Amino acid sequence: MESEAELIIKSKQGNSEAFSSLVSRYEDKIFNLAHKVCVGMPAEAEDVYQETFLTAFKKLSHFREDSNLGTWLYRIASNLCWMRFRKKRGEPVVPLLDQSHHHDDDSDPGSGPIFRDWSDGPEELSRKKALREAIETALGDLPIDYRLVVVLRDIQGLSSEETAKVMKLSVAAVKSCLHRGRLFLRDRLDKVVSS
Amino acid sequence: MRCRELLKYLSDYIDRDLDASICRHIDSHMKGCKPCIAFINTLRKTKGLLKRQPKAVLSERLRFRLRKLLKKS
Repeated sequence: MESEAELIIKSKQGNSEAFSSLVSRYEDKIFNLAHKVCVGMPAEAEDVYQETFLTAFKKLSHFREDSNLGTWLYRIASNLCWMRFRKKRGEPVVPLLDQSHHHDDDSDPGSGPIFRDWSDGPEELSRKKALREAIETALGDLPIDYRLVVVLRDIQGLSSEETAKVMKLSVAAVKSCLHRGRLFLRDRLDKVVSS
Repeated sequence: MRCRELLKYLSDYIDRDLDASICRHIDSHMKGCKPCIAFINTLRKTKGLLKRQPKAVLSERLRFRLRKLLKKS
């Protein structure tokens, strides 16, 4: 089995068979990213998957061999997703700040309202299914920058450092987006449990 | 540490990516604050639900179509 470095060199010489072998190593991950970010839009997800590898093959001469191919592919795919969902100029910004965890303004710890923990009661199994479905819907409502960070970190399993490289953000910015994204999703799920 | 101050640390707390002294403050707060315990449990479950989202299945049709396009390019 050829090493990734060997396959990259051959691919740079225009060998599409070698590039196909590289595609095989990453295509499921890239498709999953596209599918989760383009939630409910399967045709868009298919386009992002396809365009990612066609762009990568075309631009492979720009890829530095000391870089990580996976990170580079994730970056291309994330950019393609971002281009599809970026806000149009003048469009109002959706407020993301969570308002649900504000029980202590003037009170002592523990004296505020009790939050549901989503696990009480005999209806837990059907609730789990509802939560899984609700998370897909909520992801689709999350602004694209936050959605990309949440998908890369919590679904694709990248570290904050890897996500920062993909998104060309600082690690602190990634952590901030991740936290605000999770709070937004938690809030949406809580509404599902309440209904 | 009050509940509102604690909020900004919660993702790092559940990711175990937080300074030990802040962790101790949060642990201590959590002993006496049921709303915060419930809140952090639901945030943890949100992270867990994301992690367990079913993987998208890439069809053979799409894999084949991409190979065909790569050969042409």
